[in-house]
Amino acid sequence: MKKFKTLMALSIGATLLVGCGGAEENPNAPFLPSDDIDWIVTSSPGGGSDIYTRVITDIIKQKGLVEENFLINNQTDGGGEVGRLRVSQEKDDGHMLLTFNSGDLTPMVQNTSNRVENFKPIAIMAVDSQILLEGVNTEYETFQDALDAAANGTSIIIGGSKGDDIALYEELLEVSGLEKSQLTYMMFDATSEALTSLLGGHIDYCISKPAASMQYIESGDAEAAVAFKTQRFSSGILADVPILSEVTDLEDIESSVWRGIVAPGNMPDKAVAYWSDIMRQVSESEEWKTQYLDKNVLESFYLPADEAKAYMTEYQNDYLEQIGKAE
Amino acid sequence: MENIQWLLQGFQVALTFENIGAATLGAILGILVGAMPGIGSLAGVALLLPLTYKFDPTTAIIMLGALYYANMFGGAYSAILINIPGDGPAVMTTLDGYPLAQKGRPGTALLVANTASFIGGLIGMIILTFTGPALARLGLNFGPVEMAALMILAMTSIGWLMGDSVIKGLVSTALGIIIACIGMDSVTGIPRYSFGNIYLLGGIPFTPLVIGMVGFSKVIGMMKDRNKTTELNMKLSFKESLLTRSDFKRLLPPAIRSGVLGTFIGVLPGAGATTGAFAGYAMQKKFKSKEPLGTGAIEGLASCESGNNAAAAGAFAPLLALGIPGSGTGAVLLGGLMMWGLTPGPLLFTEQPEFTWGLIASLFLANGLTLLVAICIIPFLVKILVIPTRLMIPIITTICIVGSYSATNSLYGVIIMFIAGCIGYIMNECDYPSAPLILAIVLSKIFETNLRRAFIISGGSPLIFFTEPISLFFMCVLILLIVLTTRKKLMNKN
Amino acid sequence: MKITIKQIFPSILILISLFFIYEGIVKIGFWDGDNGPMGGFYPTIIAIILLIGSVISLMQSLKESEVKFFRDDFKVIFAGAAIIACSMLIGLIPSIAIYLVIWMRIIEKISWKSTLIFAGITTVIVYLVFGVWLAIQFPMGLFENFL
Repeated sequence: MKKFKTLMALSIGATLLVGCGGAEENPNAPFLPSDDIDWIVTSSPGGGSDIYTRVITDIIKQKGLVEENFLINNQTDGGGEVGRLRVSQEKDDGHMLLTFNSGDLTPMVQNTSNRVENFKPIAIMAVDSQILLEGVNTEYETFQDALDAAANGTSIIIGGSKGDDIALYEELLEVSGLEKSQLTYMMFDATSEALTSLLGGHIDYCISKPAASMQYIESGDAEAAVAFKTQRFSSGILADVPILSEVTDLEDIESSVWRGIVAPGNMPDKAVAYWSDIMRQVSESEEWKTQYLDKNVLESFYLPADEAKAYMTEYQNDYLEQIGKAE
Repeated sequence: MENIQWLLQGFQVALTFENIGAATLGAILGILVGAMPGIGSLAGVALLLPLTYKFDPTTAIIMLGALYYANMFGGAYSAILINIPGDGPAVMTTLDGYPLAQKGRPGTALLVANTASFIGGLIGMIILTFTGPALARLGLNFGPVEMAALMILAMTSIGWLMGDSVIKGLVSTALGIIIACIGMDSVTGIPRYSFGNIYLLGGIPFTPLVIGMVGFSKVIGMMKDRNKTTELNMKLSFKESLLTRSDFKRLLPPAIRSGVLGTFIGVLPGAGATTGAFAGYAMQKKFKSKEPLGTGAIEGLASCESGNNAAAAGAFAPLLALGIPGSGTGAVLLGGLMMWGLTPGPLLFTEQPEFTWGLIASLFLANGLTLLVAICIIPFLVKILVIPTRLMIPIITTICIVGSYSATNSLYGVIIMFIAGCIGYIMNECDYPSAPLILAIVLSKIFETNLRRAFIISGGSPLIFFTEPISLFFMCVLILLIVLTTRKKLMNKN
Repeated sequence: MKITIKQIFPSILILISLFFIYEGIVKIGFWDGDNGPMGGFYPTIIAIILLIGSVISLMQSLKESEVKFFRDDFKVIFAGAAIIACSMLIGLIPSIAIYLVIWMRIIEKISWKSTLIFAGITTVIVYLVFGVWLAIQFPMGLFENFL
């Protein structure tokens, strides 16, 4: 907990600690936060993870689920790795949370030795999908044509951001059997940058999320070529977008972009259960649906603590295997 | 002319008592936050965003526009008064702003900077009004190849732009680029030169480095002057701070030129306000200035401040017309707009013209109001310089530490600030200019990423820089510049 | 001839550039036949430029006048290092307050009364503006683990 407090607050804090100590004597007493909650976000203010976190805390406050205040702390040192490492090592009594998405996990396990096992997963809240956008200048009729051209020596360039999009690209290489030099990936800092390049006709395709792409599809600046799902989108303008097996002779690949929350590795189980339940209430609220899911075209996908743990661990191990770092 | 009608309608939306009040409040807060080193416009807008939640969407967006704009004005203050640039664009401001203030004309320096900012912003907005979405489409033509070519042009200008020794300028530039290479390789996402250190993975944080290199290094050097009783020959009264007719005549042409150039730079994807300020200053070098640039020339100060704000205005074109944030601040602004259920994108101009033009009108409003607020507070601000050097040393040290901490939310930033300060101090003592180093960091990242992407597109062939028309043009300009500069040097020798 | 910082600085740069060239070519990779430049391409080229520039500056520096460091300058550097070290123990804001008191009293020899007023006001302003208004969370040093 990094708050500047006067000595006065220190003594209050000490009293509260004693209070907590008293509560522990009764093993049946449920956990209740007794101080401000530090919520770490490892990306900049205003980005996707930041908005996700702020919507959750807003809903918790609107519905009065938690009395104490949330202090959202954006720690972007070392591409977010420093913040993640710090949370994983923090001594904690139930007052620290970390926003943790699939896009955080992939660079973490690739570039550092930090693993999901060092955290206590609290919940998974939602899943996002990925689609393949085609520029208006791209000359290929269908994605199959592009794949054929790539196999015959024309370099096809796919743009996308870090993390999730690369994982999907690797999977695409695997199912298509193409080499990196045939189907080339161009990494951008953010999806918006990749889209800029697509609109300017500098790349052929671009991996994107529905929320970021809708405007461009509607205005005709880009076309949705493929939805990376096993079934088409159920409604909206994306319902017309074919899945991979419909336009190519490849098998479908499904993106699994998830947004979750984890806590320091030594958070007491009672506190984990408490937060997991708070997140369940958030995910079941009407506000969550209207203020977050619908607005960003995400699907609700709530997993409580133990299931989230299993899910994240499996995701991590699959990814490690894919990049050849399996232990 | 349809655009003008829309704009007038926009003004009808913007000009209510409540909106003007919100814009004024935004302008005052924005200037204050912008003036604080380490906060800068990116964090400033992010931090003040929640303040706007209390208003209805139109008022909130007007306030946000004012905040954003005023931040850019305030950034010049610490650069001019205490030689600490709060963010990238302000590095250029220190080059002439600080010497001008030290010459005893701090009020004039601040007013020149803000008037130039106003003019640059105004030009940017006028261009935005008349061209709107078309301008943003033009920017799209700048892909990796074109951006890389433009950046080669910019980077080769850094070395001879500053300092007396070409070699020392070059060393400083190269050192800056080397520093920028530490961290994640932006094209492959693989760490390099990070020594396995987790902090270095994300690279050297820019703002603390700037604060240390320019600000803290100066404080170390200040100890020399501590006991000298400097003649306070400063013109600090309100009347003396005003611009004279001849000041204004010197300010206007560079401000207009940089305004046009800056707007164009702002439209380019990922170029940003620092590049705008730099390009304006570099161009001024090619024109006549009454005093040499770097010695407190009004022309130099006006050119970079105007270029900076014009780029900020220009960045609104891709933001509104295509939903593309041209900078980090743009991304936060985008987040702010989305909070009110607006998705900037290709449909915004056609589907929600009232909003779009209301926002553009409010930018005009914010620009004017900020200048008014600035004129009111500048006479008080210059009094800072009355503080004796012996008190300034601990105060600036404190500002450097707190500012660099705030920029990164960690002590790591303070450590970087400290190390950069020590290196900057050694460089000052050995007559290496530090400005090229800082600029190289900003430009180098844009350059390398685009260069590598260009090679991906061409499959490894450098010929692509000569086959694409826009890039070919830049290459010709580059060769021409090199030939002309060398010839001038040779002629001078004879 | 005496070796001063004017020779040491470019010498260090030469070492740095050699390291970047080695690392760039050997470890990171310079050029890939199919895809063109790799991660080490650009840093290596720039490091070569830095190497050449540093060697020339080193030779030029022999002709330049010596640098005379002012001893008091190091007090600022020492103070900066002390504040950072101290922040890890007792937190940033208390460190700054202590620094201000020590600096004003011992280095500038200002009366206790003025020192305390000055240090107090500066600390409170920093705390109110950055800590309260801008909601920046300052480190507490060792205390944070007790809270």
